[in-house]
Amino acid sequence: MIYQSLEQVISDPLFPRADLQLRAGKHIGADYDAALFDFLTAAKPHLDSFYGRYEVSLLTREEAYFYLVPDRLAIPPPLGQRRLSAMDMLVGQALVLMRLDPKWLETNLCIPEKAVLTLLEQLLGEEGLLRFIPRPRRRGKDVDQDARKLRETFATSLRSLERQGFIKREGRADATVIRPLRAVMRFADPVRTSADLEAALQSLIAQGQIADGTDDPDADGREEPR
Amino acid sequence: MRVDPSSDPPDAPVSVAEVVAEAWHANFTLDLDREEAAFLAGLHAYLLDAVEPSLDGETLRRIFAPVYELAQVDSETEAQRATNMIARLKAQGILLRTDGAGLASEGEFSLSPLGLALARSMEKDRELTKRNLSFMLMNIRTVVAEILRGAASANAEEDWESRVIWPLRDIVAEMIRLVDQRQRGLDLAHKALRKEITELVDSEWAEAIDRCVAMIDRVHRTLRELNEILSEHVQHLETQLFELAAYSGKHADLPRLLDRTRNQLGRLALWGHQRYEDWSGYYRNAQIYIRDVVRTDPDNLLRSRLSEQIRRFQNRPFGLLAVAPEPFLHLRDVTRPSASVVITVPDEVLANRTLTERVQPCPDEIELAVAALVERLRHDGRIDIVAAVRDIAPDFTENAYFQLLMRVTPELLKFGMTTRDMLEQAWVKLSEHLHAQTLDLHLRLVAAQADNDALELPFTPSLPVHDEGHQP
Repeated sequence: MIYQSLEQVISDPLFPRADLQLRAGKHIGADYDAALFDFLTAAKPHLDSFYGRYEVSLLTREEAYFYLVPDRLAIPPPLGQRRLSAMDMLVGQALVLMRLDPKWLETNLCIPEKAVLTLLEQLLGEEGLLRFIPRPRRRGKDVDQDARKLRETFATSLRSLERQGFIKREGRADATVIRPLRAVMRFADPVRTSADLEAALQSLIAQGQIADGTDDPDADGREEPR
Repeated sequence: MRVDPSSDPPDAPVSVAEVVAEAWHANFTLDLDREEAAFLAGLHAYLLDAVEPSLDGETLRRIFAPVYELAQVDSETEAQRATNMIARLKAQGILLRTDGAGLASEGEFSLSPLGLALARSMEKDRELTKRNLSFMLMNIRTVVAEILRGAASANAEEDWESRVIWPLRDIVAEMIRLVDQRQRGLDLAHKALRKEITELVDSEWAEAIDRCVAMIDRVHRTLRELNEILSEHVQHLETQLFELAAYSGKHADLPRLLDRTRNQLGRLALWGHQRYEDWSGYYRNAQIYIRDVVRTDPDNLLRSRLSEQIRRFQNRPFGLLAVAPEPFLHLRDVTRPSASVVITVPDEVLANRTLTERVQPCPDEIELAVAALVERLRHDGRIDIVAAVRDIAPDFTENAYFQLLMRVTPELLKFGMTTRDMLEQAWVKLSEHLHAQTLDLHLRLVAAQADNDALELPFTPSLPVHDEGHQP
């Protein structure tokens, strides 16, 4: 379908679906919803100016997915702004690492939830991982409670990543598997080039793709509009 | 083809539970380690080319020699270990002594059906190819066509057994089992191939692309061909079985055998479809992986950089940004739905999924009063509604009076009419807060008599005849 005008784009029955999902912070790739992805590919030239009026940019990446990012100078951002929580970031990065590992091709990129947590534990150590969970101030250690809290935080992050179109989940209970979608590659943005990590991060901050720091683990990841 | 039906083994237990119970009581256990499995594979390989179907002690020890060398055991001598292993395989029913000479001689051995099955499962040459699958399915079609001819001409029970039932139960089932077995073999081979591709990519990265693509393409092509062959032949076989079903009434066992054969065929076809779909997913993911990962990162540095980024995340945290509109502000209190209530449904209801007994709920006191008032009008021929309500329900609350008047008035007007102007009728105090307009009604005699049989008064069948002054 070739659209001649924005009016034609908006008249398409796919527009409301795509618009609502983009505004909800969803990343729409061909592996998330092929019809919406095709629609956005065809309509992008017209939608750029449309979303420009809301001070957001409709971006597309080489892995074939679309998403909206607030313009850096928009204060407050009319469509709101969310910064992913620390655990969201860790889980997202671990999933990219697994997506890059040819081992998971054997299972058609179906990754058991537990495997993600195991990988993070291998990379950060148990103590390092527990630093990213909200922990009440208390004396001494409560290993059971920490482990429970970690699982809860992890589960919250998975739900958050699924809501934003980074992953899909299949199966139930212990047999749940994660399928990382193409959009998850956004978590690898700072290491795509051979540049120094700090320089890459500064560049992405300047583009409005990422923000410094993370939310407090107790926060839910949503920023209040300024 | 003729067989004596009496020589057939008794039918196997039909239910899964029976099979489980039988196996349990047989107290059968199997304990096969790597060394024993290798020895078993060696015995089978020897027997494939041997003239004699049995093995003497000397041959067994000769076959054991390379196993002993691989196992590198220091605790026992080769002869001791061979003797112990033969004894273990014998005890587990994998090796059978066939000479019956007792202790007097060393004996002759052969592989039991269990040993044979285990050894066959370890065979390398068990893959499905386009050629052998076509051959096997064509054989099944030929046998089923013969069965169809047999069913059309068989009359005596013996004919049915030898030309229809036995070939369908044993020959066709065995042929399908062979295809099934090879399908599983192919599954294993593909699993191993995926592992091989993974190792190749992991070790050689970009260098391995061409070889991997060739391997993936080859399997993709093979599976597509196998799926096409399966679909075509299974469709034809299903048509044959459908034609055979026309003779179901002629032999009691035929419908059950047809069902079983259809299920087995369905499983074969489903395998082809599922494996093709599954491999298509793998094919797609592998192509994307090669294009997006291997080709764009020929030095395979991305993974190590990403691992480093995760390790440093605590010291240099950052977060991806996305839009997130504020939710609508609710100006009213949002009440959450109450927690769900768990209802326990009796097992027998769940099992039957139907109600066996319907119980009419008891009428409430207002319904009873309405029925009594209507009955009074019909019996007496006239009624003063307010007076009658007071009479029939002296203990009602204000709310109950109100509801009763609301409900009884239209019911009474179906049978009665007033001769006075509505406006002339007085308002009467029923209670402290409730006043009602008196309504004096007369029975519409003609209408009532004409419709007498058709009248359906609320709950009158279950009520006693009301006299004046009777209270519900």
